[in-house]
This record gives sequence, structure tokens and C-alpha cells, in this order.
Amino acid sequence: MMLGVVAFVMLLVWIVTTWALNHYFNEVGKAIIADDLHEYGVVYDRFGAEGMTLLFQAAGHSERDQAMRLLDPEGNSLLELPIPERPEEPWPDIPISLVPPADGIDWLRLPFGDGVVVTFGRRRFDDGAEMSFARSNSGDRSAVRQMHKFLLFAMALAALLSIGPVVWFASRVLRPVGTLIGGARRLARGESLDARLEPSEAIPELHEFAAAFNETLGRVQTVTEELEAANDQLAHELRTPLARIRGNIENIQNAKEATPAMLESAARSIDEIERASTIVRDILSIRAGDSGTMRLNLESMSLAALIRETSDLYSAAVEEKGLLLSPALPEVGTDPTLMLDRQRVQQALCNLLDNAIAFTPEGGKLELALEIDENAVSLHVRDSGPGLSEDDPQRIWRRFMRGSAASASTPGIGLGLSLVRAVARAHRGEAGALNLADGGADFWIRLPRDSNKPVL
Amino acid sequence: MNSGMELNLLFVEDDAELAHHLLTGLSGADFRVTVERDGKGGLAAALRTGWDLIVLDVMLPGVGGFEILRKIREAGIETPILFLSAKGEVHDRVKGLSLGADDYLAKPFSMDELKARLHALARRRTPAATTVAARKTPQGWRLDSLLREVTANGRSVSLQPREWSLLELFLDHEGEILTNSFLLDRVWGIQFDPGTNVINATICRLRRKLDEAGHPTRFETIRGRGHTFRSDV
Repeated sequence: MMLGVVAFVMLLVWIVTTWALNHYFNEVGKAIIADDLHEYGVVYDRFGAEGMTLLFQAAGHSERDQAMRLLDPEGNSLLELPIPERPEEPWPDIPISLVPPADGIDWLRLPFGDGVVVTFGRRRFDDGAEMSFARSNSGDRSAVRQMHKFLLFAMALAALLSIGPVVWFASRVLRPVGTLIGGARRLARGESLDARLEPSEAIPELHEFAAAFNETLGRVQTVTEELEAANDQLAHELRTPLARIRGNIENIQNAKEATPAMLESAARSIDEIERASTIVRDILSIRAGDSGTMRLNLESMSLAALIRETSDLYSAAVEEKGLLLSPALPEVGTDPTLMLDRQRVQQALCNLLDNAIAFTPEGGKLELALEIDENAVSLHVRDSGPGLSEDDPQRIWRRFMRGSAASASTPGIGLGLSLVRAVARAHRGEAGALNLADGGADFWIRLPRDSNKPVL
Repeated sequence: MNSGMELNLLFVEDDAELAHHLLTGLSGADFRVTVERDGKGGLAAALRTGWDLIVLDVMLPGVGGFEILRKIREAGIETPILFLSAKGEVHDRVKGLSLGADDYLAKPFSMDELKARLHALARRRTPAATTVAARKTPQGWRLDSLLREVTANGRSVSLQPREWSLLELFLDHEGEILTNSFLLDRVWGIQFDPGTNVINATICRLRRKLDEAGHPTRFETIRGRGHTFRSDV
């Protein structure tokens, strides 16, 4: 951008100087002609046409790209020299001004192409005779050319001299700042806790800033690692007893003396252990999401494929429940791939679908839709169930809350939606729900196509 | 490396109760189990040759599970390794696999699932030296994996891609109890519970398809444990 400013300034200087110089030459040219007209007017009075001719030739006007014309009162040409630089052209008729000029001179500027401009000045004498002077701008043009050469040289010199400071600025200020911004972005995305600023060539001020910044990054990293370790420890503390209980129950299942009633009891206990285990994992994930420490395992993922696979996964179950599940994909050829955590995004989608299935009565319809716009992609799970009540829209996202349409017989607990939102936000996206016009609900997850531009 | 019936299995697990449970649960026809109770002992044992399979817990006192994993691989030992984790985070799994582990199981896990995964690992490594039979095609069945068709008694039935993978998995693990989480991982590549009894419904549909085409099967669902398949009708 700086180069652009410099170039603009140079261009401005060039244009202004050229214009000013041309304007100056124009004025000077007219002054010359005016002087000559007065001089020769006097000569004409005293010595007539002959005298003028002699003086004109002696004065060497032709070498200075000047010419003159003298007309008698009847308009006959007493003396006519060819127009400088355009000898083949006829002398033009110089129009008479409506308002008589103060110095008695009428002017005409005629461009003849190729930059040649001839200025004509005409004076009328009391006896009706008319004298005109013509001057071409060839001298002016070469002067302007000279100036241009000089200006070009000066600008080149200035550019060369300024490269030094610009390069210095770029390498010692701009580049280190760029690295800093990159590092900060990576940290914000949760990609690398190790990012540090290394401004080896930066100015001292930036060094100090970098040191302070690195210290802050170090603290953030320590806190994050501690949080993660605490999470891990918590997981371990909760899961180890569950594992032990499960082991004991499996012993019962394997015992030869187990009665059907005991086996049934054991089976239900196992179900509860699995449920508890899922709760532990989901809560830990949500906790990680809340504290911004949810680590995402990013891979390139096709969202159309996700929709298709998810439809396939649930197809048998949906059929059994007497529901219709249809995927809705955008037209062929648009299949955006995004960098996402496959397991988490698929789990979020499955949570929504599982929810929709639970709340849609037999004979209902479900739709898994993918919608794409410029900045983001959205995954929609639409159902033909009862929809959300007025209080629901915000409440259902909170932990352990289920929508008011949920009854005691609806299985599952309310963590699923919390997790969906945590996953969406970890990807810098968002999740939400709304009611459909025809009844039923639309639960959506919106994910940004560029993680540097989060969905607002 | 033995050429006989049993698989030499090293288990590194610090939790006493779990260790005991594993010892009793796995020792039997297929496995000869040795348990180490801490990291150092586990690493020393692992670096001795002669193991067909190694199971590591990630959180161990002393040398941690990931560290042991790394050192085993650095020593050039290629024994299949399955690691157990109470943390159960996705990135844990990814980390373990990238360090050279072959499989992963989160606690609490089902003993049936552990067995199924160990059998799969053993078969992958040395198909000849295991007690687990290669895939047995049920009598009278012909399988076309390109067309995903099962033909028996002159009648064919076409299966969807996932249904086919499911059938193949059951055939590979005939007689074993396969848990929902094992099936979801192997057939659909997901490591969470999608709810809505998707597995039961899918197996039901598969069984119906095969039965209707005149290929009777014996799928059995054992409550609280998993599903089994037997081809001898």
C-alpha cells in the first residue's frame, strides 16, 4: 500500500508540473506575440510593409518558429509567411471577439495534431489593415521534454533512495507483526498452544512487545494444560469405578448359575453403566467446549457424504418406527468440503436426528438437509413433530433440559443438544432451532467455510 | 512366536480389580495372559520378545502408556498393540494410533468387545498362527463382494454396502459376541452412540432380507452383551 501512495504522489507531481509548465509557456508565448505585434505596429506606421519585411527577416523570427501576415484594408495579403511547422496549412480566420480586448489583440490557439499547437495573435490598425503573428510551441515542447527527463531521473533517484527505508520497515516491523498476528490467530483457533513470536530482526520496541506477549501465551498454555489435565483426571476418576462395576456384572453374566432374572438384571445394569459413561464423556466434552479447550481433530470432510452416511445409518431404525427420512442435498456439483472434526460433527448431527426421531410420532416425516451459502454451510434436521413451545427455544440448549413435548417415556436425557452447540461453537459456528411454518421443528448447525471468518 | 493354539498376551494395567477381571476373563482357550501392574514393569516385559498381543492402559504410574508405546515401536517391535483409556477423548485415540498403536478401547469396555478386537488384531497379523478360523462361508452360500450378492439355493439377494460390511464382519467373527460399539466402529466408522437402536434395527433388516431370500440365518441378540451370528442353521 505504501508503494501505491508513493506512486500516486509521483504521478501527481508529474501531472501538476507538466500542466504548470505548459500554462507558463502558453502565457509567455502570448506575451512574445503581443510584444512583437506592438513593435511591428510601430514599424508599419513609420516604414510600411517593406520596412516590416526587412526587420522580420533580420530579426530571425523564422528560426524561432514564428511567422507573420499582413493584410491591407481590402483584405489582400501584403506579406504572408508560412505557418511554422505546418507550412502547407492556410492561415486561419481569427474570429473577432464580441468584447473588444483591452490590448487590441484577438487570439486563436489551433492544435494541428502530434502535439503541435500554434498560437495566433491579430491586431487591426486604424486604417483597416491587419497584422497577425503566429508562433508554434515546438520550443515549449522540447523544454517540457527536457523537464520530463529531469523529473524522471529525480523520481527514479527518490525511489531508489526510498527502497532502503521501505525494505527495512517491511523486514523489521511489518513481517514480525505479521508473524505475531498469525500466531495469535492460531492460538484463537485452538490449533497450537506452542505458538510463540520470534521477531529476530525486529526493532527493539517489537522485541519487548513480543516478550510480553510470549509470556502471556505461556500462561495461557499452562492454564489450558492444567484444565485439560484436570479434565483427564476427572474422566479417570469417574470411569474407573464404572469399569470395575462393569467387570463385576460381566462375571455374573458369565456365571453358569445365572438365572434368566439375574441375566436380565445384569443387562439392565450394563445399560445404565453405558448411559452413565456417555454422560461422563458428553459432560467432559461440553466442559472442554465451554473453556475453549475442546481439541478438534480436523480433517477434510464432505458434508454431502455426511448427510448420506447418516441417512443410511438410521434408515432401518426409521423404517421400524414408521417414519420417512429423506436427505435433501443441493444440486449436483456442489459438494463443499470443510476442515472439520468428523467424529464430533457427525455426533452432533446424530444427536439432532436422534432427538427428532424421538419426538416425531409414527407416520411422520424427517428431513436431513444441507444448505450452502457464501460464508457457511448449514446442516438441518427437520421433523413433522409437535415443534417447540414458546419457552423452549433457549431453554432446550441448557444442560439437562428437554423440550416441553418430551414425555417421561421419551428415552435419553437432555445433554445431547448442549453437546451439539458446544461442537458447533468449537468450530466457530453456531447451532439453533426454530419452528417450521407447517408445524414441526428445524434444528440447525451452521459452520463457517473459512475458520478465520466465524459465523456470527 | 508360537505356532500353537494360544495367543501370548501382555496386559499392562494398574487397577487391581480390573487386572484381576481381565486375567479371569481372558485366560482360557485362546489367550495366555500375563499382567504387569505398573509402567516400568510393563515396559521391561514388553521389550522381551514372545508376545502375540499387548494391551496397554494409557494412564499408568511411572512410565505412562504413550511413553511405553513409543519405546516399543522405537525398539522395532511390531507386535499388535491395543490401548485402553479412561480418558476416552477423540484426540487421545488419534494420538495413540499415530504413535503406533493398532486399536483403542475406552473404559468402561465390554470384555466381549475386547476379545473381538484382540481376535481381529491377531488374525490381521498372523492369520495362520491363531485359533480363530478364517472366514467361514456358510454351507451352500456363495458371496459376491463386487455385486454384494448372497446366493444360495439358486436365489440371490442384493445387499446395501453397509449391510454387506455388517455381514462380512459377522462371518469373520462367527460365534463371537459383537457389541454395538464394535459394530458401529467397524462398519460405520463412528465412536459414539447414535441412539435410536440403529444397530438392532439394521441387523433385523439384514436378517429379514436373508430369510426372505431363503437363506436362513441365526442372528442372536443377547441382552446386555451384543449380537452373535451362526451359520449352521
